[in-house]
Amino acid sequence: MTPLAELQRRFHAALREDGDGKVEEDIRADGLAPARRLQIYRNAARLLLTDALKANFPATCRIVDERFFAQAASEFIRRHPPRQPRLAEYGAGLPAFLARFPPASSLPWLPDLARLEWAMLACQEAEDAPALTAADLETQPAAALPRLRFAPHPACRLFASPWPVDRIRSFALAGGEESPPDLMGDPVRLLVRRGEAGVALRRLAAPEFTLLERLLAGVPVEEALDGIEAESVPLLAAALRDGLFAKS
Amino acid sequence: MGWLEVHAENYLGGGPARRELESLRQDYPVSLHAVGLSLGSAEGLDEAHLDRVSELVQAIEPAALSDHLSWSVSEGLYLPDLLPLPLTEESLSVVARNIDRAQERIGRPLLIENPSLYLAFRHSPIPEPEFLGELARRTGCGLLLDLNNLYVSACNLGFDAGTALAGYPRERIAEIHLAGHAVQEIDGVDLRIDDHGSAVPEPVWALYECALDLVGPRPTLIEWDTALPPPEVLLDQAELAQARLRRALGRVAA
Repeated sequence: MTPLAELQRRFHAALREDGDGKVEEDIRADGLAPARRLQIYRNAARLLLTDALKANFPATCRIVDERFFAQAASEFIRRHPPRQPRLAEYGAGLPAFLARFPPASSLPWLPDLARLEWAMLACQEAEDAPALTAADLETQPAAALPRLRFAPHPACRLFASPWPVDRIRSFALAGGEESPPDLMGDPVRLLVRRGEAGVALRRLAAPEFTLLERLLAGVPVEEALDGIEAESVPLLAAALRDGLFAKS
Repeated sequence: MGWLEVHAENYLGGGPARRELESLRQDYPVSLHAVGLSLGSAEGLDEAHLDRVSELVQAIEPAALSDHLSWSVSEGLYLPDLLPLPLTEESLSVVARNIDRAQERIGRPLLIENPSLYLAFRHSPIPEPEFLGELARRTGCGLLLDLNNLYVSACNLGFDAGTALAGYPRERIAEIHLAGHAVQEIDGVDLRIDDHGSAVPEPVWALYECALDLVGPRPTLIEWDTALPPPEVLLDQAELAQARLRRALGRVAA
């Protein structure tokens, strides 16, 4: 009789096609071979994981052809099975995987598109937390403001890419309704944040991006403003309005 | 419609999804149905996941919290499937220990559901109804009887669903699930696949009638979460269950 931990290790490995077949000795045949019975579980798990990747990376999935995505997903699932039970959090490694996936080498922007979708998903799934508001800052003595540091709100991210992945994404999701974006000479800096209606993207100019990057990294206000060639007060006000910082 | 059930794992984050659930909770009792606790894992529970489920339970105050007699995790890797357990003394102590831990962390009893089975282990000496009964006795958990799962397992493994039904400890059954399934031919053998993607079929309704007689009226859920039909079809299924439940309640009152 195989101890449960060992039986589960063998069973799991068999479903991931990483087993030695020994688990079949512990399974009753009853008119259908153990390997075929295992296949039912394997297919169900694979289907759910593929569907999860399609749901988590909808534009990445649609911009390539179906067979290409199925092949990439199947290889990714085999090499990187999930380590936690939330399918909405499955696929953190997909962008890096696509960057090294030989069939994707002719689509240099594809990993960044996946990276953008992952950032959006992270914002969508982030826990709720109260945001810091301008009113909260009013309670601070004016002299303390330059030394203030902010903590990032869990439902926001900054994202930069040499490719216009926001436009590629909207092109992919429009399903042929939009004309393809010009891929060259349009690097993007984006703010990804979850609002009342869901996750939204906003393009940022270089000074705002740099300022937010510093503030979200916890750099004190005075230092973060150093060398920013833009009106800084409206930028700070907008960041507070957007709820980019967590209330401590 | 009397109450709603959602997958706990779909609501562990914040934002609009959580707001929707909170808003539904204002108007209906909500049951949280977990699929990811992996109560049958020999290596124990994922404490981080348990913390998140526990936080959701505190926030939503569900009418019930359930998961399955199954496992999904081995060596820290998770497969999204309700995998079968050999029903042995060893499994009994593993599952009881995990349920104890989950109930201790969450602070309320779980309901444990019988899974759909596509295989049986050579060494699995304890019948499932008895196994679940003993789990309930050791941990204080309740049971969620899924009649579609029972029918699917009976067909796939060649036992009689009606006989098995009589073996479950009726006083522990706190909820009933009904659903449809698909039939798939593999190597000339018809297998029933639990896919929650069609109407409740006649044999499952027949089991439900038996269960209402044997067990008595219990909160009943229609599970239909793939290939969704128009809402009228779902409401019609719920009404078919409700009508049988009303008749059973009438019998109890009389």
